[in-house]
Amino acid sequence: MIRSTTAELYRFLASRLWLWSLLAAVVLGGGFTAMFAFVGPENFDPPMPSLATGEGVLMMLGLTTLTLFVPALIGALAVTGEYRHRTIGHTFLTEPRRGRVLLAKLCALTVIGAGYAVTVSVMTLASLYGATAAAGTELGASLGHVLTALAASSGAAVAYTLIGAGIGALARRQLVAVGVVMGWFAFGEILTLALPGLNAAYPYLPGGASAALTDFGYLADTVAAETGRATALLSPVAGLLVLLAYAGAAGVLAVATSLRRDVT
Amino acid sequence: MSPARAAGIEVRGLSKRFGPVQAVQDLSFQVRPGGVTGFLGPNGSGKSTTMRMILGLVRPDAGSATIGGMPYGRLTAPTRTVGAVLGDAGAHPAMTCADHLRLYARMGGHPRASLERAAALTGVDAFAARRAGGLSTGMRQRLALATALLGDPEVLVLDEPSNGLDPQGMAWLRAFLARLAEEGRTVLVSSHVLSELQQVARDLVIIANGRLVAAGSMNDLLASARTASGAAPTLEDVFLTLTAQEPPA
Repeated sequence: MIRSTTAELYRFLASRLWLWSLLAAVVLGGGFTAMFAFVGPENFDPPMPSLATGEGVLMMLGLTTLTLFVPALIGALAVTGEYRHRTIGHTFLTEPRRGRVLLAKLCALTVIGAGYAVTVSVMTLASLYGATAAAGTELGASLGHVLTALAASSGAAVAYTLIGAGIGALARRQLVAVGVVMGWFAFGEILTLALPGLNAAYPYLPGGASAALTDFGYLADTVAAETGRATALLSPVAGLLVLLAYAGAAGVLAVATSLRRDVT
Repeated sequence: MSPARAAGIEVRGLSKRFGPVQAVQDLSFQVRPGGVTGFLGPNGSGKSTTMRMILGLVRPDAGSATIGGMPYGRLTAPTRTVGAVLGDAGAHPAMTCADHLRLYARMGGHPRASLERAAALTGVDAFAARRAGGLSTGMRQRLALATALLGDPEVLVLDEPSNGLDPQGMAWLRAFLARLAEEGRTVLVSSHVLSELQQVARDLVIIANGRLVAAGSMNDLLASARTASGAAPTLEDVFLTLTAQEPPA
């Protein structure tokens, strides 16, 4: 298993996916945070609490959860790339136990997701402190609070990488997997949250679980303000477990279905 | 390597249907070590499907395929036992050939020396730094062969390895296959280039419409054939005669 996992890590590094992942982490972690910090959340429309308050800092950090589709895409692209470039035959010939192939990919993508999350966190931290220092603003949250929030976002990013990988293993076709990830982020969760009756399921959906984990319920709060129906989120630990359960369920389902299909 | 006694391939009663198409039907044959066995059939006759069933990539509806008595999926070190070239198997276009070989060498647990040996044997070392996306068809075939040879396997299953090769490449492949067979390996190779196969194959398996139409040594099959002019029959004569007799499924 270690051999297969290191091989999957090598595959990621030898293709250009690592470069795009790094670029996304730098831009989303560093660029956006620096931009938001320079502008100041109090100047947003609608205005948000300033970075001089603890609430403002945590909301600012919570905005990174809006980019969780990126690690999900990384996971989906890493798995479906095998089918797109027709390398899956070589891979299954080298390791005929297909469940092990997926497990090795998930282990490697845990490392890759963690690497992405650490990069985003470091860039966010540097941009946040750099930009506020340059603007002469004193942050309203302690370093401990900031690190705790970033750790929660990192956990969500790793879980989303694995969910993306599970979707990729189920879909096999890259376009379908990307469509599912983006469609869910852009429409699926908002629809679920807005539709009466369905919004009770929101805490158990990936978005609700990540909101619980990061304590940033932007989408739930917005919909609650619009509809007057508030949705209670799970605890952070339960949120993380729900996210990991999605990744595990997608993997198990893929082993039972799509991975068993003929490679023609 | 010089396997004293390489594993053979045994196919027993293999059948596979894809929707309305019966791709392979009750197919049985054996591939002996120490020679090249040509696997022939018209387009769509089920050659690739059969090879993929031997390699565990396609699940048969009935029958079995074993290598040294074991199904591919139960081999303890599959790429040390079997090397395969699949007709359309690819490589990640952004990876260099060296990266591609390193990846599958790592996955298969093969040392760096095996990688260098496979690259040198196939000529891939001459373009190892090139990205797979920019390779010619012939180069891709050599890369696929190098990947198959990473584990120095005793059995080779090669689906159309001559596709895209120029005349020099064909001559190289012919000599290469002959050498592998001389080393005692079991070589099953499908090809439409019958003139090339006639020079290198010891045994033949000919199928049409997913069914076996002939199997045996090249010499016996050539001896059993007749030409209208009385001239010595070629493999093409044998192939056209046998496959013309087979009605479509």
